[in-house]
Amino acid sequence: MISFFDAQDSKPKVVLTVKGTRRKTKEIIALFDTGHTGSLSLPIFDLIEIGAKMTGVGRAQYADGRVGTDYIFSVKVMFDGTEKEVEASMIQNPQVTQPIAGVALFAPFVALIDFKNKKLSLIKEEDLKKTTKKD
Amino acid sequence: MTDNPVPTNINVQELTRKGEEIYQQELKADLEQRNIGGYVAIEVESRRHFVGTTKEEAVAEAKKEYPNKIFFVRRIGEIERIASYSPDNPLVTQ
Repeated sequence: MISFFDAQDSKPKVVLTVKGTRRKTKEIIALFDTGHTGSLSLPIFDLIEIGAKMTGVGRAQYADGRVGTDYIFSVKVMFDGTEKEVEASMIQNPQVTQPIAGVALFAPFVALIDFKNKKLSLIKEEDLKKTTKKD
Repeated sequence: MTDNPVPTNINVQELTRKGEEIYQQELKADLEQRNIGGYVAIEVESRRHFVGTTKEEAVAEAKKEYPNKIFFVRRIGEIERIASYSPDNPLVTQ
């Protein structure tokens, strides 16, 4: 999986491929947000482009503390050689073009964030154990 | 103009209101004792609910029974948090 610190904004990012009901896939660079309890939030135009199907509505609390309506869409996410169906939230503000990946998307992985050297690594738990044992 | 991805035949505000009402009145006490931190998908017409440890699990269970419905989906306990974004003040615009 490609994960890195973006030199432009010094924020951790991950590269993902998303797919909706259309055949077309789209590669996105998502902000890795440890404060996002869900799987993925996608800008409205990305959801339109891939033809994602709406599956639900809910409520979410945003950065400013305000509670709003959460529009939920089924999206297939491909990373690390696997395909996972996730229930993604829609980012309603058309000005926001940055997808946001939450902690639930990376449940099988352990995230190592090296702020000193600006490195983000997502490693499977079993691989991390192997590495730790060697050391 | 672009296509609106939200179906026009869905009254989102009403679905959200009914779903939250069912959660608060019928499910909250039991679910928050047994499944805190998990997710519930509620089919508001039948008032049936489906629980999962993740949002994906809860929706997948609900879809088995109601493949074409739009559900009210909620985190059990505190609602979903998106710390890096707010609708009126996008912190992560490019």
